[in-house]
Amino acid sequence: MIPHDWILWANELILELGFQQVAGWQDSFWLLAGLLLVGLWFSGEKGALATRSNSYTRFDSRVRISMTILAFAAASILWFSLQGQLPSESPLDVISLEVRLPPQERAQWVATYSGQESPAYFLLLAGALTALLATYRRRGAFLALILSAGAVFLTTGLGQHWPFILLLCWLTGLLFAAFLLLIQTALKNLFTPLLTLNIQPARIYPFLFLILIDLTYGFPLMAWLSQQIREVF
Amino acid sequence: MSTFDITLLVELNRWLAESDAAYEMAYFAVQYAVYVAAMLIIIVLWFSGKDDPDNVIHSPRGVHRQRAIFFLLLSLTSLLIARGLAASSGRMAPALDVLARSPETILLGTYPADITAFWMAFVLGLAIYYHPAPGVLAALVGVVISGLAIATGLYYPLDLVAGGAVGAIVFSATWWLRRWLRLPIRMIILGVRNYSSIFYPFGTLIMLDSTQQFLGVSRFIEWLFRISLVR
Repeated sequence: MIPHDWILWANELILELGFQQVAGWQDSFWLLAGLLLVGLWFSGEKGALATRSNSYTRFDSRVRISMTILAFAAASILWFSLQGQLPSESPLDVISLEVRLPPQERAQWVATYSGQESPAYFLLLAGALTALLATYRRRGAFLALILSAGAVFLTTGLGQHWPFILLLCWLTGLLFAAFLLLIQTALKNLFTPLLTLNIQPARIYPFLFLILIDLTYGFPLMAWLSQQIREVF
Repeated sequence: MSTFDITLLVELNRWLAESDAAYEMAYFAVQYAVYVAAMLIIIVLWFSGKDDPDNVIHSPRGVHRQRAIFFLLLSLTSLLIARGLAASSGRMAPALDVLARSPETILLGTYPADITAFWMAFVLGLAIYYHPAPGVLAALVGVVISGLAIATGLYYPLDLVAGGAVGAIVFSATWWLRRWLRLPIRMIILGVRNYSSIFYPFGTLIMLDSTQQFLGVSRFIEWLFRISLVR
């Protein structure tokens, strides 16, 4: 099968690069995504100062970011609800992949990534961020595209997810964000509460910081909450 | 190490270790929650007060921001100095040599305690630059955290007292140096104003480092001064 060949090929390349060095790359991804969102949140000119033809207002920027986060949340909920339909075996169960990690870490790795396939939430965010960056600079979107391809390659080679799941996740994030960004004018009025961040920022930013902490650790709090919800229903 | 230190430590640890959940919560409070709480207070200060675009430095928000940066620098300096001294003292956490339960630790030494150095400088800043009331409240939090730090076996009582002294000394030193610190702090505020999309991610990175006990900042200082602070 083609996916098997892809996985083996990517795995061989990663072993040459050094499996141990790239095994924890997803932790850095969440942190970088968080910092990118913070940078964009505070970018743009304030109000009437945005007079240059290539500038944008801070409020517009914040509306776009909110749309992207909304798209990511919607896509995550969709994939979370589809989790039961995903393959019951991960690449690590089906293909004999080499995992060059110390024995204890290796055992933990295999336990984490074998068994029921799960959605690649980080690629949902990567897809949504690609759409978001396209609204700022084309070069940014191009860079995000290349980084997403790199992420797909690494995840495939490390045996964490099936390639088609990765591509579908990335596309879902991209399409959801693109759709919401296209209709943002219609929804703009909903986002006027964002202006309150300028009125009562000292009350709102501490909460945003806590959410950001959750994001940079790959949403452990959200995962725990969703697990509780799943157990209740 | 005095007998009192050991007795207090063992008794408090025995009391806390009766419940695994209580122990985990105390461990979390000492290792992470204190630093995150300080960062949340700094964020509140940073966005407090009325903004005035024509008078960035002397507007209410500008004054709050100067204090927020001062508190951050002050607390971090105290923490790093305490870590440097602790690394040279080399005395390890009691959990490693007195108690049976060994929590994960990243420090090279625990005397003086970095946590009380950090918190003491922060408390004195709050009390003197704002109002004694929040300072007293923060001091009470510090006492509770110190008790938990002893009970979890992360520090000896004397470590915490010495850490508090380091924090107080650093605060006093910066109090005398405040005139010279004013200019760089104001430059940071103007930089944030004009290059916010660069400064905010950088500031966020430092703040997020609080969830790792400022491991990243410590590593940077190690690299900069060729010293050892953490394992």
